[in-house]
Amino acid sequence: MKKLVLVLLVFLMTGCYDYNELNDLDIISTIIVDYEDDKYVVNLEVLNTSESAEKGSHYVNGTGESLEDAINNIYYDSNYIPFYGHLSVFVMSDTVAKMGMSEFYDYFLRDTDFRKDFYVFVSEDIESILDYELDRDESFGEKAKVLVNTMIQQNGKYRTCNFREIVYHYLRDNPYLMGGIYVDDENIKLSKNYIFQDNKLSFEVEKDVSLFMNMLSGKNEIFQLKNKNTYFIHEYKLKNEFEKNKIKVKLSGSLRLTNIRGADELSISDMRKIEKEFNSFMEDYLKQLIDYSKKKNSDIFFYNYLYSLKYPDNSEKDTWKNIEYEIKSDLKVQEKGMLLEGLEGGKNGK
Amino acid sequence: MENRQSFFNGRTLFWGFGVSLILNVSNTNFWISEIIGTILGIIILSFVKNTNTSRIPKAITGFLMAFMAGSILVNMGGTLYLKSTPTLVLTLVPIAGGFIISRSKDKSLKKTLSLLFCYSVFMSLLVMVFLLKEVKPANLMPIFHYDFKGIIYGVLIYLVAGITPILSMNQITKENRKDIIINYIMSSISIIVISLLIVAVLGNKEALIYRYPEYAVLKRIKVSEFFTNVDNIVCVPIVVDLLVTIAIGIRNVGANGKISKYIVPILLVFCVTVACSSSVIMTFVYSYFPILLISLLILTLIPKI
Repeated sequence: MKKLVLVLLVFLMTGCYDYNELNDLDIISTIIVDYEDDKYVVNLEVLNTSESAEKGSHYVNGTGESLEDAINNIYYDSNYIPFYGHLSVFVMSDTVAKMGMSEFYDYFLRDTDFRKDFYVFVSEDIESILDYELDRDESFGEKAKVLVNTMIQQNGKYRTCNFREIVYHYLRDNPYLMGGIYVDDENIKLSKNYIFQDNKLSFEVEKDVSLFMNMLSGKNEIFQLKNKNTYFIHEYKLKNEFEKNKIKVKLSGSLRLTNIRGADELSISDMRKIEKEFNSFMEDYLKQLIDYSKKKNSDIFFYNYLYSLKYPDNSEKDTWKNIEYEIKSDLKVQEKGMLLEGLEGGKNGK
Repeated sequence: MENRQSFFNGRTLFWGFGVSLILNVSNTNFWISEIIGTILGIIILSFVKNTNTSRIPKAITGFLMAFMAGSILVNMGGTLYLKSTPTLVLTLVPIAGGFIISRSKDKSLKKTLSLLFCYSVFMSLLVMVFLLKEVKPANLMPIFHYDFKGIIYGVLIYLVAGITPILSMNQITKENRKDIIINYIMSSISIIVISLLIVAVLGNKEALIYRYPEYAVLKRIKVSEFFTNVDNIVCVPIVVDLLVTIAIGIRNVGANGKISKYIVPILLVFCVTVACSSSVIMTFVYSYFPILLISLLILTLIPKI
């Protein structure tokens, strides 16, 4: 009997109902959503897997009363099955962003097919993305993903959230930061940053807000700032410490001098002076950003939520506005490059 | 060779039910509930002299445990991987597997479980290493903001989900008590570590919204860009736990007749298929699962304590 069961199992359970041929799949790299005439217009960037394809991807589109409706309408008369395991980017028009996007969240979270780490962007020029000419083996989604990773890690002055981060803030009623995207002169451009409050685009913010957010998130590795001289700040840590009546923001790490202006020598005392000046500049810089969030009446850096984690009983709605902030910068000049002194000083034999 | 059966039994009901329920009632105090639950579990396992080994209670508890493990496995498979596969086909595979394992000899079962134990421990360590870089300590906050009602509910759920399968599926004797307690401690440690990882990686709010937080956390494993989507490999220990419990459950029903031995798996296939075909039934089982377990615990303990 056992043998019979085994033989039956071999014949009956060799296949799989959920099996799909690779050729039958539409591998989606980007979802682009706009809103026109009371309907969502969805464009899906599908990767071309055929070696003979001239372009790396093509678009399929559909409309519907909701995002899932529009996607469903694209595929209801298609032989292909959409596959979202490689989804890299989700772009929404500023119209959709202003309407709010919280109704998409349930759809993306409930469906196990969607990756949850795709980046989300806002675009004021959707057409430029759809008209973007791609070469062989290129896809808009992949290129945008690589670009945003590089910008966040190596520059810091641009930021957008991935879907997981959005859900994190959505569940905590925090505002969140989203980045803009468009194509200009056959190049993908990442610019502008927007604050989303109540899951709707609320206002555009300065570049430096993105930098502070990147510093707080720990995703940025290096960034450049200029006061009198220019510096790269690297191997740094930005820490928040919460006390009952105070939030301490502490920055520590290394500075690399990249351009010295108006200094002949770089003696020990000069270096100390440079450090002191820059740390004072950095403290002011961070303070201005916190003041900016107060001015905008938006807890951009979600200090209220972070404070409530430490002092849940003391936390009120406006604690982040009324609490004292102590900002301390302790950056050290670690490297000054190939030049011994300031270039002017060297030229004059100092 | 130690019998590792209780290690697998002790973890089974945490997948899909236990961990998710404890996080929902205890929130960030889940670890307190789990530690207190473990201590109480050890005390109970140390003091229970023997369990009810009468045929009918043993058969009822065995069948219900196999039913619950089967339902979790089938529902999980259907939700996470095989959405187009009919529930009946999904049910046939684990129940047939459990049935075949249940017919094996004691000695070979012991050996298999020992090997699977090593595999489970190895995989758990691997998961821990992979997930460590995703851990955000802030997700565990607020740590000392107590909600005593939630903690007590959490302890209760932890206790019944941990010790009911052990007591109902293992016969406690003087000789094996120590083994069972050691295995229970090990299964408890693994559950506490996994719960910590779930909350520390996903965040306490995210952990509450997912039906299978233990699976959602495995989705986060990512080593560079090339080592992703490995959740289906690292969740094998969960499948093993459930499969072992199905097998031991069928074995405990004790139907050994020429035809009657097939009745149990057929009945199980029927019950699991019906349960997993209806979200109403699964939601009912999820909501009332602690009460069901308490009833089974009473059935196992009362007559002979």
